[in-house]
Amino acid sequence: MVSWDETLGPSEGVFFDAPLAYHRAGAPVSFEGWACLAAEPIRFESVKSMLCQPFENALAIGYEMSDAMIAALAEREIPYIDVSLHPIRFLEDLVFALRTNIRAFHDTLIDHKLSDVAAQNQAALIQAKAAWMKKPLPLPPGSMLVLGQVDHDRALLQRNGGFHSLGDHLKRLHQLCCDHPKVLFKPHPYDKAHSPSQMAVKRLPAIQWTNANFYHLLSQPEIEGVVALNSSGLVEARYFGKASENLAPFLYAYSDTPPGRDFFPGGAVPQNGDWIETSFWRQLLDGTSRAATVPAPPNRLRRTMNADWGYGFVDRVVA
Amino acid sequence: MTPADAILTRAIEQLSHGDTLGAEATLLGGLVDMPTESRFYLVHGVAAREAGRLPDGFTGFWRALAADPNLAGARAALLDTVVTRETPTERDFSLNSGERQFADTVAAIRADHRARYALAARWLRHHIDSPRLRVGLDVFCGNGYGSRMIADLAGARMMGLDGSAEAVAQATTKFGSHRVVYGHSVFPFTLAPKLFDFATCFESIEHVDDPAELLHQLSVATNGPFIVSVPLETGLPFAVNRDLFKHHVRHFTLSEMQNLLAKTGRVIAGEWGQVVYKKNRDRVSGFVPEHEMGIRPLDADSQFLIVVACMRMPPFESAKP
Repeated sequence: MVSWDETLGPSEGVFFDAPLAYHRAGAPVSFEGWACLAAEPIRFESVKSMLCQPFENALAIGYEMSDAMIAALAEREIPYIDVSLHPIRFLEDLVFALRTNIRAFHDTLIDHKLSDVAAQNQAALIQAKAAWMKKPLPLPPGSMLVLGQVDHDRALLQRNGGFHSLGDHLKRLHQLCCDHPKVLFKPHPYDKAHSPSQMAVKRLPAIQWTNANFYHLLSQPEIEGVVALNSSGLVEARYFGKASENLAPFLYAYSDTPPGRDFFPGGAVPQNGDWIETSFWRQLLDGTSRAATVPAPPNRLRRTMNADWGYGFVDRVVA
Repeated sequence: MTPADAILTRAIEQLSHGDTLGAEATLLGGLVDMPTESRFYLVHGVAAREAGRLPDGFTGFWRALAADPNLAGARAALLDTVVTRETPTERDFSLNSGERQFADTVAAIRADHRARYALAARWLRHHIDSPRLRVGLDVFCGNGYGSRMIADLAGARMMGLDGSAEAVAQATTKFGSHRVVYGHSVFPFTLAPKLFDFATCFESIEHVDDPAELLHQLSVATNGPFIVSVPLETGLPFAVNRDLFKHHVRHFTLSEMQNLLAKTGRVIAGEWGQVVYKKNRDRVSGFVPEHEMGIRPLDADSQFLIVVACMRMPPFESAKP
C-alpha cells in the first residue's frame, strides 16, 4: 500500500512524501496547490518519478486517480486499475466502476459488469412506493430540478485549476425559468451556503429551493428532467425516466470501450458485487478461472465506506 | 452608476432617438455578461414592440419576469401589448357583484367553476405539444384561480384579463407568479393578433351584449383552440330565471354556439355538459351538492355547455376530456 499518511501505512507499505512532491512541483501544500496539480499533466520529471517509482514492475490499483497520475503511469507503461464510486447510489449497495489500461483486465471487468436491468428494476420499485407517499411539494407538469454540488468537488475541477460553478451558467438557468413552470434547486447538503453556485441560484428568485429527498423528487411524474454541473444525480435520473443535462463535462466515461495501445484507460465499467471477492482478482490476474457471483448482504460496502448516511429513503421505501 | 445602469441609459437614449436596432444590440450585448438583469429583457421587449415585432416584445416581457418575478413594469408591458383598445362601460365589475368567485385559495372555489378549468387543463395536457412552452389567455378570469389552475395542472404560462380592478389585484396577490399574470381590461376591447397559443373564457359570453365580438376577439388573439362555457337555454331557460342571473344578457342553445363559433372559423372539437342547480320545473331552486357538479356528457339535462373550438378537427377522440 502506498500512502501519504504515515498512520495509514502498513508495515510493508510505502510512504509517499506528499509535501516533497508538492515542493518539487512548485505548488503549495494547500487546497489550491492540490487543484493545480490534479488538473494538469505533471511537467516535472522528478515528481513523475516519485509518483511512479513505487509501482515499477507492479500492477497499480488506485482509487479515483487523478488525470495527472494516470498520465504519469501511462507514460511509463505501468499497468493499472482505477476504482471509482459509480453514480448510481440507489441500489442495495454502493456500486463501483473499474477502468484499466490492460485489454485482458478490461475483458474481466466486462464479465462482471453490473446489469443495467437491476438498476432499472430498483428505480421502478422506488417509483412504485413513492406513488403511495405524499408529494414532497406541489409540482406542475414539466417542472425541472437543478442539483447543487460541493463547490470544491474534484469532479468540478477545470483545466486551469479553478472550479466549475452554476454561476458560469446563469443564462441557461434563466432559460429554464422561462421554459419550465417550476424550477427547483436542491443544494448539496455539504455545500457552503455562500458557495458560488448557491449565490448564483439566489440571483434568480423564480427558482424554488427544496431539501426534499432526491429519489422522492425523481419519482414525481411532474419532474421532467434534472440539470446539474456533472452530479451523479444526472446518471441516476435517467433510470427514473427523466431527461438529464450536464453543464460541465462528466469526470468519468462509463462504457465498454476497451483500452487502446497508449496505456490510457478504456471506459469505466460499473461492477456487480464480485470485485471485492478473491475469486474475481484471481480471474483477473491469471485468467484461468471465472469468478462466481456471490450474493452479498445489502449495504455491505456502504457501511465499510462509512457512506451509509442519507440512504434511509431507499431502505425505507423499498424494504 | 452601475454597469447595468450605464447599459440601460445608453439603450434608452438610443430608443429616444428612434434607434431601436441599436438599443436592442446594446441590451443583447449587456445580457451576455448579465443574463439575469431583468430590466434588459424589459427594455429589449419595449424596443422590439416599438419596431413592430409584437411577438418578440411579448416574449421579452415574459423573460423579464423569469429574471425578476416582481418586476411590475413587465406585467404592465404585457397588458399594454395584449390589449390595444378598450371602451369604458357602466357595468358593475366589482369583486362582490354577486357573479364572481372570490375565495383566495383554489380549494375554496365552488366545485363547478373548478371543474371547468380542470377539464381545460386536462384537454390541453393531452392535445397540445409541450404545454409548458405555450401561453394561454383567460378572458374574464375573475380573481384568477382558473388561470392558476391551468398553469398548475397543464404547466402553461397564463395571462388573465378581467374588468374588475379589485379582482385583478386579488388575482395578482393570491394566484400570480412569473408565469401567471393578470391585467385589468374592460370589454369591449381589442386584442393583439396571435400572441397566444390557446384561450379560455368561462361563464362570460352570456355577460356581454355582443357575444360574437367577444368570440371574434378570442379568435384574433389565438390560432389555437379556445375553450368556452355558457349556460344552456335548454337546461336553464333565461326568461324563467332572469332575476337570478341579473348580470346575464342571455343564455344559449348548442346550435347557437355552433353558429357563433363557425363565424370565427372554428368547429367544436369537444363538448361536455354540467349540472349545477336544483330546479323546480324550469325554475332554479338551489344548488345540487358539489360532488354532482362535475363535467359529464352533454345531454338534455345539461345546464352548462363547455366546448373546445378549433380551427380544424384535431386527431383525437372528442368526447374524452
